[in-house]
Amino acid sequence: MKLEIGTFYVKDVISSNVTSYENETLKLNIEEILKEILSDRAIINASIEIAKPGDSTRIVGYRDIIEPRIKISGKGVCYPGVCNRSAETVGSGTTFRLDGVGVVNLSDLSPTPKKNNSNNSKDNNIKGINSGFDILYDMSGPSADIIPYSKIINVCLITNTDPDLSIEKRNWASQEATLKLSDIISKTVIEKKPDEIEIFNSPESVNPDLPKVVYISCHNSPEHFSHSVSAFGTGIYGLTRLNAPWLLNPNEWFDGAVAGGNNVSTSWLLVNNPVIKDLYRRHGKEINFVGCIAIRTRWSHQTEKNITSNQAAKIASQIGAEGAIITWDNGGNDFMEVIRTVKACEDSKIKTVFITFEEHPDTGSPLLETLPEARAIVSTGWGRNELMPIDSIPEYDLKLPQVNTVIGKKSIFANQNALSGTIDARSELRTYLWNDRYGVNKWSAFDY
Amino acid sequence: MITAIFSLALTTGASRVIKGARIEHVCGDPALGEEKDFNYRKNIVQMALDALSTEVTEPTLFEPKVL
Repeated sequence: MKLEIGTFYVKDVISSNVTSYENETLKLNIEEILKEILSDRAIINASIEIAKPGDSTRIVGYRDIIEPRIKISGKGVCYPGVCNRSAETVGSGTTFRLDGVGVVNLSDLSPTPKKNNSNNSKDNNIKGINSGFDILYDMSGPSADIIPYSKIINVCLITNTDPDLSIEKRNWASQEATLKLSDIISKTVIEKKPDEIEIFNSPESVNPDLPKVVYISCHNSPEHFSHSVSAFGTGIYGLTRLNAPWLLNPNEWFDGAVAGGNNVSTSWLLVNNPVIKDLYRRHGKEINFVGCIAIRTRWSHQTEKNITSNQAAKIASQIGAEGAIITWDNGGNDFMEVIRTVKACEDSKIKTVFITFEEHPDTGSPLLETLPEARAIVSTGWGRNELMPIDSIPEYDLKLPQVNTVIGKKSIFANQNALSGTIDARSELRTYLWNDRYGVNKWSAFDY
Repeated sequence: MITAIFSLALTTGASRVIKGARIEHVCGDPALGEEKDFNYRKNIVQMALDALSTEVTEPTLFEPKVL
């Protein structure tokens, strides 16, 4: 499977009377775009705001960030399966992408049916999932250095969905609108010549002298609490439910087969997964990159967790893997499937390298469960430093500077004004600020 | 310790581990219906009490009967 990716650099985004791309500038006819977004009757209100790196702007409550990508040739569409998009298998032909820009899904909507949708409701902030969508980042200041979304131009789509519709329909509408905007943007480059072309010729040619390596990515499923079967959370071809492990071609990733925001991931992050890119770059030189396995996590029964881990290791064995790199994207009991996948691979004589963040250093072990089989671990750090709050200790409260503009929710958990500098963090939100799961940022760690 | 995710309890060194149902409902299973669920719940709690009076030398799993 061969995929050619053409990159167009975006250095500026401006409002204009024609939507177009020229000389690294993306021009948007916002009025016309909003008319198109509002043609869906589930969207009752929509607006677009643009935030640029260096702006004194805080983005609050983002549900997803999408990098505009479009298929020029080859089967299917980018970000397939979700919201009734084509389910054709992607990963071949030519794909164009716009580098340096992300379409941000901002909605007043809580993704679960049980909680109140009001911005100010305290109830919204009790459990992680709702407060998870109070996650924020700044376009400037100390945190901008570590959060990748602060370094790209944010085209923010703020939508209100029809409250009479079911949560599933509302989740669907807000994500579909964001994908629609991403498509409108990516269509501007169809006839143009990309600034850069990279060819990803997927792992068919194997050098027998080099070890075979598989990438295993673990993705939280929101099935238990979202009541949404597809439109909320990270989906594989749009499916967010708990299901058996998938064997994927790495090229499918670049076309957005694994996409959709959860508490710590976004579509933008997933299509730019640096683990896959680096494995590709070493293919044929140091290793044979033989494919990707994606598993779902947050099963609620020990047996289901074990099956998932064992099957992931079995598929890895079956495709001849001698080594596996494993990443994950959530926390808590999801870790059971993840660490047991490490164990199951090691038990099948597949050497593993586990890429993970670490738990709070004051709570003991840096991993929830330390198994002796997990011998090679790459730490992406603790994810929080003095910028990130811990419990309710005042000196650890979120120390972000005051900003001039807030895009998205104007207040965050516990009715606090999102403009204010020091944020008193007493909700689960604190854990979802920014956690590097794939090694995208510049931080490095010390040895224990 | 009564837990659905008993593997974690065993590797982290809990001495007596009682196998619970699922994360959502550790001490019982509403899908069994009221009467059977009650018996299952009773089995779990009874096993926990029995485990307390059982001598163990290492993390040990106790499996209550579902029916």
